[in-house]
Amino acid sequence: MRRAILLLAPSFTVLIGIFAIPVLLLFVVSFWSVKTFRLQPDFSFAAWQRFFTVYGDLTLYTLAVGLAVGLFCTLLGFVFAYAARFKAGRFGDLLLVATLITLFGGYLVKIYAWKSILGADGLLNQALMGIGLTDQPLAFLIYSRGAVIIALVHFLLPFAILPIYAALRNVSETTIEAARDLGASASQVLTRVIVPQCLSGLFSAFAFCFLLAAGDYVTPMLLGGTSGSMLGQFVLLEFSTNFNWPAGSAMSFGLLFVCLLVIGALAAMGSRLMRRSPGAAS
Amino acid sequence: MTSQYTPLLKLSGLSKSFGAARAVEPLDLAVQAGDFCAILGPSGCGKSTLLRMIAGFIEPSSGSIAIEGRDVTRLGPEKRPTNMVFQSYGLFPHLTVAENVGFGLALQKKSKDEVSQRTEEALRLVRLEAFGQRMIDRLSGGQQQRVALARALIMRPKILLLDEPLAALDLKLRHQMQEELRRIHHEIGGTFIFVTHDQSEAFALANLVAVMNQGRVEQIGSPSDVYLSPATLFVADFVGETSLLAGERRQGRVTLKAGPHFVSAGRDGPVRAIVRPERVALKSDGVPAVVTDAVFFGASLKVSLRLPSDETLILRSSEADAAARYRIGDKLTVGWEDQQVIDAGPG
Repeated sequence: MRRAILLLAPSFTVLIGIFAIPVLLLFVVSFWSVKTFRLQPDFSFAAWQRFFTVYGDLTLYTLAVGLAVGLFCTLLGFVFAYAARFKAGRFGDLLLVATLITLFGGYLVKIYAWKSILGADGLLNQALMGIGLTDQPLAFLIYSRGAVIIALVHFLLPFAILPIYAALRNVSETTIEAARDLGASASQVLTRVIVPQCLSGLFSAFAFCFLLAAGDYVTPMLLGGTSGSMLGQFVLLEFSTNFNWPAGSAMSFGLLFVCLLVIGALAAMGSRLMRRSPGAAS
Repeated sequence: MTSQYTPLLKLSGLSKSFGAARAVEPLDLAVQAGDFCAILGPSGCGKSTLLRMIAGFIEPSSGSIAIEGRDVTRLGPEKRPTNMVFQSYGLFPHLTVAENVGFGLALQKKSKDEVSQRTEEALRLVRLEAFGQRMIDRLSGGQQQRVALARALIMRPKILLLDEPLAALDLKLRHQMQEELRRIHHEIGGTFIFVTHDQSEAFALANLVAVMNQGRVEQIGSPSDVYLSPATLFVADFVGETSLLAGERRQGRVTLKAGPHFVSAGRDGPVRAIVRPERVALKSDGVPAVVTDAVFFGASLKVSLRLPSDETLILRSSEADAAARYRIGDKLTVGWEDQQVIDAGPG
């Protein structure tokens, strides 16, 4: 017990010292006020009010992008992990290594790659004009919600594949054979045997991708244009250009709370789902 | 074996190759309703492949499988009237015991009442009625085995397939489960086919034994047939602790290297005499032998004897004073009542 405490002490000190305390302080700042570019200790809800009135819609929209990215990533990640686990035979692990390697490619590199694919004189538009489908570049390809979602899904997909694959590794083939032997069709095997056994992996995949996407501000800045902007960009704006720390803080925590709410609701749904059985109850 | 009635299960010319490797040579097998059939053989002999072909998990390379006269060769496992107890059980870890057992019926969209009633029945059959609400990881190996059995039996399969069902259990539990399996087979009057590498298990359970070696069925028959009149050298060697003594047949007379000779009709050439350990006894005018090992098994004493031909002969004695009679290094003379003679290839 003593040894456990000793071993945990360094990491706890670091976590509490440079994460928990600053975060707490930042939360306190959201109730402060700013006068002529100076932070004033205060107890005011002005920043929170500003968050709800000015940024309410943008928060919902940011959540929607996060949910969409989380959903796409989880779905595509499951398909990939399923194929790697059950269909690729001994190449399964190789596919996983390939997934890991894509993580080494930088985040910004990927965004710029999408810029050069979706841009006005990008690959896609050039190709479309080349085969004569359009006579001028399609403007909606880049600087839109779609572009942001595509780039985020592309960047976050490995984060979905890995936990799902890990969960699928623990699904034994014998349970699948047993289900077939008991009369389960391919889709019943999927919904009643495989998915229930990897729910925790699906959940972590979704939570990871959703949180990272909802908190992102670089992708919408570079690919979102005006129609694809997200809350994170404005948090940055409040902290830097506007020097309105209380507002930035309230927005950060507002988004954090809403995201945690979504994750919490999902976790509750998941554990309800786990308890639900495919029929028999005696 | 031959019957004018259609057998419950009929395999005709069934074989399986994986690439160039033949896992199962073409074989024929007929199993009648009510049979308890053992497929016996060493590991890698193709017995599990054969069972999985019957279940529908492996598509045969040639031949056909018919159940009650209906060809099921191309049907998947979900469409066959067979159910399987897997060696590693394959229980669903996310479901309770009762949900595991009721899984197949729930898929058939049976009413909740029927599912729960039949689940209870099945659990009672395997004596797990108190465990319905447990999760699988809260069960011992023997209990998991019973759940797997109940989950298959609840489907009322025409044929229950068991893949090395008792291999993962310790000896005592294995004997207990053998008894349970016999009781259940008797109680429901079903047809069971199981795969095992353990000849005592095959003999303890089955009324029909198919001995396999290197993808080939070497002999099909009742346990006593297989034990007392093995069709091949392999069967003789694999089934029970037999001694194989080399000899030569000339004009209807076999002379063993160890000395004894006796009348035996057949082709001239090298032969092997199969001698069962329980048939060997001390005999004043018998073959000289030296005791090289004696192992006490409780009910009997197993004695290894070196013959003049440098061959080993095994003797089993259940006499009370056996341990005093056979001591390592003792020189004595032994004889045996009768032997089975099998033609052996040269060498």
